Amino acid sequence: MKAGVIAAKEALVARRGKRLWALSLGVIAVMVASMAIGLNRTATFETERAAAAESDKAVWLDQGFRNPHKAAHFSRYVFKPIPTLASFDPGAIDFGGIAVWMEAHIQNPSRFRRAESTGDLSRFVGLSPAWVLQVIMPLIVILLLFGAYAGEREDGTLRQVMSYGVSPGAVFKGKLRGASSALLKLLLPVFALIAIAVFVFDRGYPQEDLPVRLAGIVGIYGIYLFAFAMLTIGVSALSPSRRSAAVSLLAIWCLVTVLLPRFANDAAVTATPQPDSYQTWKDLEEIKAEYWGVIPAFGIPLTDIRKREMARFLEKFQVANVEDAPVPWSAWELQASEEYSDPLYDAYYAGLNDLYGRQEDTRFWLTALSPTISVMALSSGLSGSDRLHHYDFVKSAEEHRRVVIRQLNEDLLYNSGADPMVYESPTSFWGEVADYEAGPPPLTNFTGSYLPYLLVMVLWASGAFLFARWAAFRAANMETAV
Amino acid sequence: MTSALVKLELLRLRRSRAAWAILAFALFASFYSVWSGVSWRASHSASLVAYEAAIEAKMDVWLETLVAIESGERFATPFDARPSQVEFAATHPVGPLGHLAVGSAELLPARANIGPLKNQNLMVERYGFENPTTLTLGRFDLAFLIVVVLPLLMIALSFDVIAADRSRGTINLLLASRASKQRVIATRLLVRNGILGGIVALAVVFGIAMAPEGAAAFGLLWSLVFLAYSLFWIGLIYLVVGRTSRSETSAAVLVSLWALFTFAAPALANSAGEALYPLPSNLDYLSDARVAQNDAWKRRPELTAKYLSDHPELVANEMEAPEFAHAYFLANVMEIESTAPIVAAFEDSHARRSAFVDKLQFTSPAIVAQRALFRIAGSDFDRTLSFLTQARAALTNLNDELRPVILASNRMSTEDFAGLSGFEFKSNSPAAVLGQISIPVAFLVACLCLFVALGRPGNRYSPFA
Amino acid sequence: MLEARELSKSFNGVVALDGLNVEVQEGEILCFLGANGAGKTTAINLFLGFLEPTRGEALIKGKSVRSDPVSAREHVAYIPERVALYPDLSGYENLRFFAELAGKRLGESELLECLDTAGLPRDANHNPASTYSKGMQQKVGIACALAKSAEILLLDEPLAGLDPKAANEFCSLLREMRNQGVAGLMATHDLFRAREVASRIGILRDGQLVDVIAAADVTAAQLETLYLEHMHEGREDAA
Repeated sequence: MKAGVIAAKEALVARRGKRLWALSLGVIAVMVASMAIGLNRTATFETERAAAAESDKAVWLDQGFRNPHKAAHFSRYVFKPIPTLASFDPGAIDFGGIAVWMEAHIQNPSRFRRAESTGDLSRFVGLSPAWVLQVIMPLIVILLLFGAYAGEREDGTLRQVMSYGVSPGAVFKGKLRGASSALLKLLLPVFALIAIAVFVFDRGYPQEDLPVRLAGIVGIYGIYLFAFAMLTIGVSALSPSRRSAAVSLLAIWCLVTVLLPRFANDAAVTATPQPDSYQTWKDLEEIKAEYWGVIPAFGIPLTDIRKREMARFLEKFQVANVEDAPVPWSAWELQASEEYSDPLYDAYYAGLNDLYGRQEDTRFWLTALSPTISVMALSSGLSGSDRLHHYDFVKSAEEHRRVVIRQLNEDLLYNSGADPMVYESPTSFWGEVADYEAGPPPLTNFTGSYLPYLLVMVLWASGAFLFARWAAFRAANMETAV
Repeated sequence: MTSALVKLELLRLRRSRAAWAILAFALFASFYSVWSGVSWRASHSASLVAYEAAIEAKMDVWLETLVAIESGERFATPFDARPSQVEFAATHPVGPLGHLAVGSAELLPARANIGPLKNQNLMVERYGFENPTTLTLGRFDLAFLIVVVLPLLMIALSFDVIAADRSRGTINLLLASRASKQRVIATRLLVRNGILGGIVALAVVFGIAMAPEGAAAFGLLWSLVFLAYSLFWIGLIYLVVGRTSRSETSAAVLVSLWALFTFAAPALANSAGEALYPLPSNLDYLSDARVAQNDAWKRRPELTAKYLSDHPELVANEMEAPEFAHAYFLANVMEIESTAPIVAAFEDSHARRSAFVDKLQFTSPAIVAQRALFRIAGSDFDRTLSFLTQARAALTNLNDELRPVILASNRMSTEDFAGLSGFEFKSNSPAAVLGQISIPVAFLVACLCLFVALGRPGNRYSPFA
Repeated sequence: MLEARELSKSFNGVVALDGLNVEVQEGEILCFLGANGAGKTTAINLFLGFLEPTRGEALIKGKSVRSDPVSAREHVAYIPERVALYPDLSGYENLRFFAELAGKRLGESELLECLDTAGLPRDANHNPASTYSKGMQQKVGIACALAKSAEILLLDEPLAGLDPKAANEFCSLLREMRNQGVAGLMATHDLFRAREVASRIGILRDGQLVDVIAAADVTAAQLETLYLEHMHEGREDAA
């Protein structure tokens, strides 16, 4: 009962103070601006992708007569679809390549990272709705609530309220309800805005599980900002005055939302250095060379692997010489070499992925100091713009490469007759090669990877709640209060 | 008088746990950032050296073969020591102080392969294997520490420089002695931030000492910008704390200014630059390149015939190389020519965007300082662009030098090979960098003078009026 | 209504209140007189349960404050030196809030009547409390006590800093409440006002109740003696 009275008073004070209104308006303005920028970027990127895919197809179909293996070296590109929610949280999307060349013999890395052409300023800060929620919103929560206890203590109203026979628990509950309702008032229009933007105006590649993802986003930011609200109330309850509460909270804000996330990323690459691009590419080329050996000018000496493959070929067709087989050995071998190196590429890229995972583990441990790191990971994951989603794209592009190269190799195998090297596929053949059509992956592919971060968020929120409760009871006890 | 003030201030600082915490954090963060930058520089430079050595080794073998053929020691096949196999490594070395400002250097290409069968697209060696997650926020380098973190630490150390006295009433005690208020504030600010700045300056000096030889002039410029930017903030703090009567107001005003300068202004300038001067898409470039490649492929016999009919003297050859060697070369030249407009448009848009941001930088001292520190360090985006432009020029140059011999299907002589231009990266001299940063730094100093002038007691706008 | 039994409090070994034994009946106001640090405020805080006694007990309506401070406070109205109000809310809204905290859902007219009785100028009822003078704030404090229908008043230097007119009005309000059966304990160092309001005057010195005098018996001359004897020798360091 008394908690309700206090909550109602809190609401009245918040309304009367006009601070909530001014801050909401400010936040909504920044939100609209950042959303507009995000929507515009996504729309531009998707238009570019569609144009590039179309042009890629046109060039492919326009090859004329050509040897299928030469075509496999020209090959096609796969372009990364930019998901709808990337306009909410671009995450790592600007830092992963958006085009994969499906060349024969080798799994190329994705290239053309958008961040490479955005200039130095973008390294300062990227304005996005998610950034506003991650960095600016906590500041606003602090501005709204830093006086919760410190102000009442400074004004003497806390003492006054306690003299009315109100239990510390009731005061805390009242404050909690007041803070929650202020937070809701602030967040509801923001989330509504995001939902409208995403459902109505977004031109990104549709995500089938969009509602689930959006609900997740609302949930994690709710937990995140609740944790901040509790932290604010707790610090406020421990501070003797508004001044000291404000100063401590600003220090915490800077550390938690600005410094630690950046430090965590730096520590991650210092502890586990990035793969060296030169060495990595050399490794990939070595995998490519493993089957064929180093190719000298004349005559290709058979590597052991080739000898084994040839034996398999002869046995399969029950012939003594490759020339006697019903299909050309050279065409057979092209596909065999692909199948030999496929698992090697899989293992190599998986190894790279493990290295990235280790870097992110370092980052993960620092979530103990900053929930912002964990909300960043979850938010970009839910938006489909993080590294895991990118890796999924890379994998699906590679699967498609294997389909396309097999199709080209089989054309050579079955249609080239005796001399595969001079054979040219008819122009109609190019249209039979499948287009890449996969969209963004569903969230369920990665659920397990996000659970630790979610757990950290929940721990933070409950820890902050317990801290706030402890501090509030301490503040209500006049004898121990500061 | 002043020395008494300084002594009192030092005593107070010694007794303040918050001050110790701030200074300890500054010490840790600044030396960590230098160490992290140095380790990045070491591994990145080693990788560039390894690349250059690998290409050089490859060309040594090629040259040995050529020498052997020339001396008749070796039977020449059509595939041996062909001019189309010539290649040079072009690397973008880490800037003189690149370890103090990693910036976007960690994600931009730094290795190119200059050879007659390469084009703008193919010459750039495969790169970009870094973890995208860790690239998103940039490095915790010394430039970030100075531009973003240092002002915040200064604010934390200084916001209550006078207000605490004011609320306790000890201000009157202070002023009752002969000290003027602005002298008290100025002395305290200089003492507090002097210690903080001194700690970061140690890291700066240490960082400059870790630079390779010949970076002294750049180190001097870097220190200059560091000094000007720190003084700018001291000036601003001086003005704000003098004008506001309550310390929480000082803190709020200063933190707002900090957020405005380090978040809002760069974000807006960046978004405005991106929206007003969009760069041509890489995907458009790729599409055009592939169309050109396909066209050239289909027209190769015609192209070869035409070139050879224009240059009948080239038809004579020592030994016929396979047709694809010069066909490939011609197709590639054609691709270079047809994608040149996109490359030019990219450079043009970037130059205009850069000019635009150059004007917008005066909205925020943080942008001014960041651009200046990056330029001096040699980690700015423009330097990478310049590297790519130089590499493209070297490529065109090499193509021109090798065209006759490739199209004639001839082999080149060791003498011709020794005469090839190759590649060497030309970076800005300290004088050129000074020219680039002089106006921005002058701007910071002018702001500082303005703050001091405004803060003088006689001034109408003075906080002490 | 109010009773102290051997009520004692020390802070880190420094005795602030030492073995206070006192009882206040219905319709009676006891004034504690004493210098700074004599233990007046400590006594009030012990009755409010804001402090825990080192020894002894504070009782409100026969029940120990220590064992259940929350329900003890339900009978009490506390008026400190400066009644704390929410500055963004009007006097009326502050009153409504505190009345509701006390569990009284009063109608608008009843609330306005309380403010009227307390003597708050009518045109100020709906102005933000941040514009109120100290006297007006104290009146809202009284109005809160009225709305709560508190049986006991705990007043901690409620008159300090009030101008004579406001202090006069405040005192007559207190007398009126006393006449209606309210019990009160008031800490003050204003002898003259104490005589006006109190039924009895207790003299506190170094945490000890050294004398209790019926207010009606005190003459002006005695007041001066009392003042000289007790008010200038208090310890300054205790709470």
